[in-house]
Amino acid sequence: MGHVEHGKQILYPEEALYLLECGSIQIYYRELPLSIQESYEILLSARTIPLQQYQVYSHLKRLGYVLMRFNPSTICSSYERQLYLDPSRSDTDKHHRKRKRSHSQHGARSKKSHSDRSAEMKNDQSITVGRPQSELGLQDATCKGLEKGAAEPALEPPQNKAGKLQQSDDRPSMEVSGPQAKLERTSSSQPMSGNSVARSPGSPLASSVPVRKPRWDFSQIKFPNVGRDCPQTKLTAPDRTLLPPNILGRASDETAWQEKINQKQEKLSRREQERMRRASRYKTDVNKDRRVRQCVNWKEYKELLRWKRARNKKLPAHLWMDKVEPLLKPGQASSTGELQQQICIMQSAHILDRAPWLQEAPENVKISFDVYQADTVAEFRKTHPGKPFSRMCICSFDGPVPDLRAMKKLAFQSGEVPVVFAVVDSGDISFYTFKEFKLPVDVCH
Amino acid sequence: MILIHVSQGAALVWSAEEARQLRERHGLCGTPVGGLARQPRQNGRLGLPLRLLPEEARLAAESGSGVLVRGRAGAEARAEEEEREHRERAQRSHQEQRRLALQEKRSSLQGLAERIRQGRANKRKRISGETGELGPEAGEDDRSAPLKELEELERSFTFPPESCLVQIHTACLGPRNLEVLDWRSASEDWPHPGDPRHALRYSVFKDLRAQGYHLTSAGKFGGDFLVYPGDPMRYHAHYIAICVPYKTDLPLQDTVTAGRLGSNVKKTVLLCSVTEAERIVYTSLRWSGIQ
Repeated sequence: MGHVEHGKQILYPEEALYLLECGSIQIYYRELPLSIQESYEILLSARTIPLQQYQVYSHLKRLGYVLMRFNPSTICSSYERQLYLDPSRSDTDKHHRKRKRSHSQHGARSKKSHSDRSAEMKNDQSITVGRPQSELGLQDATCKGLEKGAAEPALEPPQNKAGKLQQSDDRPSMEVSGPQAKLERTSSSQPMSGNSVARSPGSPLASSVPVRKPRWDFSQIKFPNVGRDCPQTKLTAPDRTLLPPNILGRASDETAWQEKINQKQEKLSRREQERMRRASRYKTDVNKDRRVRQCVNWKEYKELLRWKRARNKKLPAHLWMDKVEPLLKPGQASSTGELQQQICIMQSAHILDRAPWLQEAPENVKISFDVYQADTVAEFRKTHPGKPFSRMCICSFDGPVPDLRAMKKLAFQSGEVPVVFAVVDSGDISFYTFKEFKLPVDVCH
Repeated sequence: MILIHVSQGAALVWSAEEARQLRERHGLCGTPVGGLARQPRQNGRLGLPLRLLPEEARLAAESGSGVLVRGRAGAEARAEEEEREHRERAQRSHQEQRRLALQEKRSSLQGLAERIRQGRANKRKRISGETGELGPEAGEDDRSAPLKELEELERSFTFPPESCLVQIHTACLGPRNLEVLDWRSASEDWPHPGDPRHALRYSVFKDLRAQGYHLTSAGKFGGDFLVYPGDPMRYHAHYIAICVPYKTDLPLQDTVTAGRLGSNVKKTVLLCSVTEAERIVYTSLRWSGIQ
């Protein structure tokens, strides 16, 4: 446990408190050792972590698990992993050597000011070779987000958002001064930061948990129709988020252009003229039918088709003319499996359905820890932890049970790792989790 | 007067004596949530601090046997003399430990002196036997002479300060700045007053406690309290108390759930409410046959 920052070993409050209770360290504050009571009062407060969270932490640590604070920016979807874009595959810092033990007498000094803020920027992969990131001179550790995230391509904006949001306050010329960041990366990140400020008005600037940008929802994006039937001459400017960063879009009026297209008469060759003449003898134009001409839109035309079909088929009126009608016509399904599928009213759903499109609403329950099993098979390393065993959300019996929306958001945030709810009840802890389940299908055709 | 330290709604007792008093005299058991000092890496038995239910803390405060306190936030200017005292204490402890370690070493050497001498004599014989001549130490083979080490022990014994044992205190020693909280008014650290749910639970708790039962939290059993006829260490719980507001509709599924759970764990479910006339009424659910 513990991590290295600015060349020093730093512990989170819960780690320090657990080690103190085990008797492994002594905590000094202003040159005097702290008792356990004082450490509880100083390290567990509303500003750091609540007592419940520490209870769960120490319970799991005593059982032998390895716990690390959850960092949402290290999650990548399965697609990104397929494309080898996950951060764990990036070239890990070759200069990561085991830090030499400092000769201080009394163990790790717990830093009060650092503990709560250093929580959010716990991204250990460092692309740059061995250079400490503190040269930029910011007091907060938030600068890490920019440099350390340099491995991920510009497609992966989320983890840098929080870092950049805060930097744009402190130093506008941040991107230039970052020595290690690649040039094309910085140029693309600059409009991104402007983007991110515009796109997330709800989240406060000091938000430390970077949120994931939702994927494009094509049902919401409107494409202009410039066909002959519905000429849309005034085209609006496209949404800035849909365009590549350096390209501006603007509105335009296309009346002049539309008048110029489709002017020329089509010159048919002789064979095509023959074909057209032959077809006109036998084929009739759909639009010749009076009833079709009466249809105003597609819906009515489909109604008409259905009516024509029904007129031919002669289906029993008591079944088909009522408000409630059968799901299938006889002869419509070819196999038992297909039949079952067609009469199935409830489709099986996956918890991650439509999860990316959920509104970014503030939530009560958040993922607090990653839990790793500490055995040789798991191969846990601090710089390369791997996939956690589960992720912990902490709540209490007084609060509401998380609803489906909260569950979906948590499952989406967690990626492919199951989410476990640790419910604390004044001393007792119960763990609950949901498991994937598929209803069995009778016939597998 | 028992000090109950509150922080963000949680009530903790740090003194072992006070925890014992609460349990034996007032019947408020609480749950230990800290690591046990001698065996910190296990979850079977935990140690101080003792976490009290909000109802237990309120009962203690109301009856006058306890008081809700909070450490005063703000920079406590640690006096110079505290540091000096601490250093002196550390120094004294170091010297004491050194003296004791020296004593221990001396006695162990004396105990093993015979064997050491024997071993050395054997080694000398072996060497002289090999080389075929008497070594220079042949003349020192004198049983009564004390070992070299013992004589030099005082000089050569090292006991650096890093090897000292230090004590990590559980509760805070010495006087502290504490702020007394009024258990009747809601504050950031004690948000329960004014919560109707808390008021309901407290009434039920107080009534059951007055009847002599011991109560603990029952989140694992889907209820509010576990009701024991005596000390929880000696008995199994008899009832699971679920507090419901008076004259509210309870969905049938919830009733069946509670009944099923109770019968599976061999406890009776008690549905508890407070009437408008401030009377506590109890309804028990019991699994029975058709008749």
